[in-house]
Amino acid sequence: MSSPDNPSPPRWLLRFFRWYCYPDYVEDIEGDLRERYERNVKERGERVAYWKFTKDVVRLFRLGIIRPFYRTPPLNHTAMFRNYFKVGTRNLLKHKGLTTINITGLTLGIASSLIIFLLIRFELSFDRFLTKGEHLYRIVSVFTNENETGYNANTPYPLAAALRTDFPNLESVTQIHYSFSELITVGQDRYEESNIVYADSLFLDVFDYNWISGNPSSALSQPNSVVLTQTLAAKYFKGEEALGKVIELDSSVFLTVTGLIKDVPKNTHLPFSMLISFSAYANDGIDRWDYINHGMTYIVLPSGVRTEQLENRLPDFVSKYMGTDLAQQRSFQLQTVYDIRFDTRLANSNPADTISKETLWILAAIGLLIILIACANFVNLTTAQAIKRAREVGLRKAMGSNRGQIIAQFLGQTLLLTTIALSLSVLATTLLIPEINSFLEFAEVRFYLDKYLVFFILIITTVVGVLSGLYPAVVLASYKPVVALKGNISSITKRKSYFSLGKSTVVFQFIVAQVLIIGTIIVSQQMKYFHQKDLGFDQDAIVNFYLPSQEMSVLSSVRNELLRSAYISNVSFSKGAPTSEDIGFGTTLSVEGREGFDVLVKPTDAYYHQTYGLELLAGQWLPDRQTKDGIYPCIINEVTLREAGYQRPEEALGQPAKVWLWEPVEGTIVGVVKDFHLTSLKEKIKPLVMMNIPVGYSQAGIKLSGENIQETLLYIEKAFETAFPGGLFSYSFLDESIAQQYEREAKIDVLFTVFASMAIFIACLGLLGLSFYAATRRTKEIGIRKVSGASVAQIVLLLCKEFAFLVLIAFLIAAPIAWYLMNNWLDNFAYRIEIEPSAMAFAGFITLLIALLTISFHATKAAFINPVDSLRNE
Amino acid sequence: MSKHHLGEFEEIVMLTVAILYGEAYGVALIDEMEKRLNRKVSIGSLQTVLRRLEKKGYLSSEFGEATKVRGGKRKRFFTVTNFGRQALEEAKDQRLALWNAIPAIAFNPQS
Repeated sequence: MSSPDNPSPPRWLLRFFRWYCYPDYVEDIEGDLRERYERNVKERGERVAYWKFTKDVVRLFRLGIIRPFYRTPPLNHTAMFRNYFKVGTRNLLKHKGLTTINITGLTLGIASSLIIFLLIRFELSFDRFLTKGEHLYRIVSVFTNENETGYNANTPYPLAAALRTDFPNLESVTQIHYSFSELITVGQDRYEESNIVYADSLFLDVFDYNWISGNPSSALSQPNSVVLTQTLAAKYFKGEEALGKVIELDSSVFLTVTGLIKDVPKNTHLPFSMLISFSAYANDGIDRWDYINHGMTYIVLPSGVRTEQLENRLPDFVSKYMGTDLAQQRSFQLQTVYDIRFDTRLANSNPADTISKETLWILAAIGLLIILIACANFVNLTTAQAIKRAREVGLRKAMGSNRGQIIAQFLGQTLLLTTIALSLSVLATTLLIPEINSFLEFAEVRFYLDKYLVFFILIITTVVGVLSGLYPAVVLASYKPVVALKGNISSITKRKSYFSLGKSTVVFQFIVAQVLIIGTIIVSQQMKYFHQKDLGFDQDAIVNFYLPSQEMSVLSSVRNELLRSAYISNVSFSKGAPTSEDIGFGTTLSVEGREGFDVLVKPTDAYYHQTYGLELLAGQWLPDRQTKDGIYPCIINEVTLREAGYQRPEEALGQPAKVWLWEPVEGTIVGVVKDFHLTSLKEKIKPLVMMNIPVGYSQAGIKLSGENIQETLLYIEKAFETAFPGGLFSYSFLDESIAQQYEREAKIDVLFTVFASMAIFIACLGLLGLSFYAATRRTKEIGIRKVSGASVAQIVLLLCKEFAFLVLIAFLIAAPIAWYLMNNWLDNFAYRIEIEPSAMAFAGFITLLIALLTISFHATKAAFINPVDSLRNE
Repeated sequence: MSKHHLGEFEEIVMLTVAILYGEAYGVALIDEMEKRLNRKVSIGSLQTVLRRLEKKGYLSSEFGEATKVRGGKRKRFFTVTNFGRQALEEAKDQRLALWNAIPAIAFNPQS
């Protein structure tokens, strides 16, 4: 057009001008613009003209020239809603397969995120029911040495009283003792109860529960009182009035029931089945500052007092009561009661589990990702399907619909689907919640509508609806009526955009799925490691039971009686098995050159190492007698050896050692044992001293030969009952109790597996739909290829190649992400596996295989179509 | 204030339209104004004013014939309406009245 006579101004500027200018003005103003331009070109050259033209166009962009936003005044199209609804429903019914895929995907996605939402809400509700929670703090012990800082939820027992004297302005200070297990006798019946709190009289001022009967302010003020939970009262008294009844603790103390409360909610850090007045707790270390067992101290700060004000004064307080030596290693910190659930530093000394906030975030992220996968699916399938509705769109547009209306129509249809999916997932969630609660045990998720849930559901529906509906709607609305009405599908799909979007969503879906699959593999590998790692002792065929008495003569007769059985190879009494919750007393040890450092003291007898197969590095095992000339023989482990500063095990032999027990005790090191695991593999091995102190025995360990186990168990029970009349026999196998320590991780493993399979399932649904459309789109191409001699295998390969490539790309992105995340998770454990590339490769392989199977379903179908049928239409 | 209020630029545009009687379209108006008043006028500002004046009824317009130049686009020729003429005259009278009201001494302080 730009002849030298009539040069044409830059077209893009003209187009821009025509776009914004009020239609009536376009012609003459454009004429003016051109005239000026032509003249400028002639007089001053093209460059100047170009700039002047640009300036003119830009300066014309002003009110009075710009056309209004709406071409036509907005219409009220409410009447069309009925039509939209009808056409939408018909469409959903017509494509039953796709609708099912879409709804299934969305339902799974929404249900997962709903469940995760409820779980997270449950976690965040921990201890929120305490009315004084805001000002309620737990005091925790901090242990410091050169290498590390350790935290312990337990505190010395005299702490509460000392705090009351030294800080009289504290609103409340209460001391409890937490017991994992006690023997309770009611009339003739004996019960072993777990989770019992010994609480002083101030406890009920601080912690509030739902009282059924009894008076909270006086229930624990008398010694030997007990407050029962509903469940226990029903178990003991079977519907009779519990108040005033007497139960027997440990066959020695009589407790009067002074109160009855509803069961303690599960969202508390301090779960218990009964409260016993603190005075009933008898322990020799109860007035010692360096003895830590299961005592916990809580304080209520007066409002307006900041924690630092108290914490700043604590060092002096510690020095005053614990002495300057110990004060260098020990201190106290305040922990708000709301934080207890989330503070994993104290995981091992808490009565209940902890869970890090990070874990909750990861959970939330997984929920979000699963929902996104479902949305991505929806977008893919709907966009692919949209081609089929091109004519409808064309007709609507020809009849006067505008873009907005068409977008609204298709968004509405998506919202309809989302609502269906939402109702289904709410139903599914309601049905699943009891299962989830019983599976997770610790959780008590309830599904009731409150403003948060309603808000969450509204958000989910809108976000999912808009997220998945907007893109297809915009694509559909952009169809040109002429093209769309001609029904020439290929000319519409020429725009590759939907397919590249489809591809990127497939990649996204498979990234998420593969991260989860790699996670699953690594969690289960770590689980396997937990179960298979050599703990440094023998855990097979060992039966443990709790000892009701520590009387030496009784114990030795039990031992003799048990050893008479041919199926019992050894018997040992101790405070807990090598790995158990009953790890020992926390106290201090002094040797030459190293004053008072923290160790655990584990009372064991002379047969412990044989029973559990411990390996001695130097010296010999403990003798049968407790002391020799008042000096206690001690065995130390390698960690203690290093802490004490010895180079070789032999150096330690015969060295004097001073241990704080109930009083300072003189000892001598007689042997060094190879390190064995005291707790689960989540924790490092601690410094340990083993001494023969029968009063500390809590458990018997019996090594079986491995034959006739049932009979032997009966034999043990009989021996137990003759030796401890009135005692309650309950045994456990050591390997089982050790496996129980990883219950939580085992559950994480299951959760990972569930969510990973969910993700891959939804992703594959999407792939199924997409490959179907890819195959349909290429029907003719496949026909021609077949006519030209391509084999079925070649065609299947052709169709699979495209998607397989996407899965591979996803793998390349997923692998480093998964590696990073799982490495972080593994760092929680002191003893962990290294992530092997083979685990990653395996995950990639599995995903690829599943994806290929999915695609080949349609690919083979397409490849087998007779070319006559596929080409006939032309 | 009278019912016909004209801005300064509006007045100039209307006067120029009147001067170019029959030939008053966009580019010609700009040229005329630039020539006579020695001031730069952009298409944007001129067109906004023209449309505004037309909407107010001071100007009317009609298309001319298409020619080869201007990319074949027709010109829009503006003429001042009767109503527009009244407004112009009123403006002129007001100015004159103001001029006449100035005392002789105001601009001749020497005499």
